[in-house]
Amino acid sequence: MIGQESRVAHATWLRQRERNQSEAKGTGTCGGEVAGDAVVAEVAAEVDTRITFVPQDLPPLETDHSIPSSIFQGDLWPSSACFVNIEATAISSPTFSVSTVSDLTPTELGEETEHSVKRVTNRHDTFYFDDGNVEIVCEDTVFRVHSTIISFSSPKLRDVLSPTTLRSAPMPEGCPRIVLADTADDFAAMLRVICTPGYSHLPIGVGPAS
Amino acid sequence: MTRFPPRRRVPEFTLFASLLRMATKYGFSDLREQLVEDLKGAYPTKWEDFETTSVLGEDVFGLPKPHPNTVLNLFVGQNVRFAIPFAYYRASIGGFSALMSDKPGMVLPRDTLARAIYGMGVTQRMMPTTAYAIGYTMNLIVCPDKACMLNVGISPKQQRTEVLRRLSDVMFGERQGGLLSAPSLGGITCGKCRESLKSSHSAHRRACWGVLPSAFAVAKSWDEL
Repeated sequence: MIGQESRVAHATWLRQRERNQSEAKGTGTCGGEVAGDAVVAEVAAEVDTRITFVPQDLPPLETDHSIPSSIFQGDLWPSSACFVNIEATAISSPTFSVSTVSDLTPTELGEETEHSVKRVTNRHDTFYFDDGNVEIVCEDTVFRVHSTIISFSSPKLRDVLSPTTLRSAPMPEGCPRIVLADTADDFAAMLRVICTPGYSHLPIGVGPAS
Repeated sequence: MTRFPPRRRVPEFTLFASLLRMATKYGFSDLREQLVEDLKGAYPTKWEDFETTSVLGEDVFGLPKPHPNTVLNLFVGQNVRFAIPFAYYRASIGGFSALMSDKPGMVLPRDTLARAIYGMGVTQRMMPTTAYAIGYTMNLIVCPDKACMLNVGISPKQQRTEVLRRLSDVMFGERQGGLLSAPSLGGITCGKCRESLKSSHSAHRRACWGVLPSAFAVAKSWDEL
């Protein structure tokens, strides 16, 4: 349950958005206080609505083995009905749990995508090639790379960076920009392998030889 | 053609995890095979390999050494099946407090946590059995030339107590290595008796090893992995 302060803050944000929309339309808002109360009530109902986010782009864990039901029997364990049936998912990218609508930022709600594009300002120190033909955004970092090189060994990246996709992508910096759900560190590690000749000789660890 | 040339060393865990995630997600099969291959020495699937390997579990990664929960999360998430039972075991050695850690990166999902706790119970139930078996073996031992008493200088009762204490230290003590670790029996037995005890203990360790995949509900046996 979100506290009253969070509700009020969310209501303020909604009011501000409504005002902006009204100004854009040139109509203005009448009866602001009344409308504000209505918004608070709307938010109160909204924050009580629990939603669940399930990552859609992650492969399922390929195992059919389940825990023997006997372990759920006994006083120490709640009945199996108490356990939430969570689909096993790969931890290939950071997941987040959203308990209420109010926990979402406007970007996560799918609104104001222009804002998210403007927020990306960090060019990666190493993997931002001026002659690259595609920009890939991970978290708040933008990589500029050559699509043919990074998709050479990966059929999945080949699909992601297909000409059709690139043609329809936004081009804020003069070349197509694709947003991926990976972390910047993960993507940089992959680019390090792909783009660095002689990768096998990099002093990247101190573990024993395989 | 091999796109990614073989590497010489296992990378530190953060980089390893990044590469494994990306290789799995985007289908860099060569890279994933190499990364998984690096693990096979430290996460053996055969008892003989386990007995002979010098680097086990998360020790294979470079410094900083990752927490067993973090490694377990990675293996479960990226479906490195052959390594999952032993990763579960390594995580369960730390007990409830380690399994239920709430530090970033160490939090186990509910399903993984349930399997780990269940498997920990299974392996812990085997410990008293092993201890009793060792004690029974010691009672049966008749030192052929009384070498134990003559060379070591302690009575059979003291000897039995000391052996069980060391066994208990390995299983439950602060420097515990779990049921699969062999206690040092030097200085309290003669060579022949030591071999007898080790043989008895080894049989029980092997039995424990055999049940790991089913104890953690990963597979019915090691052969399935």
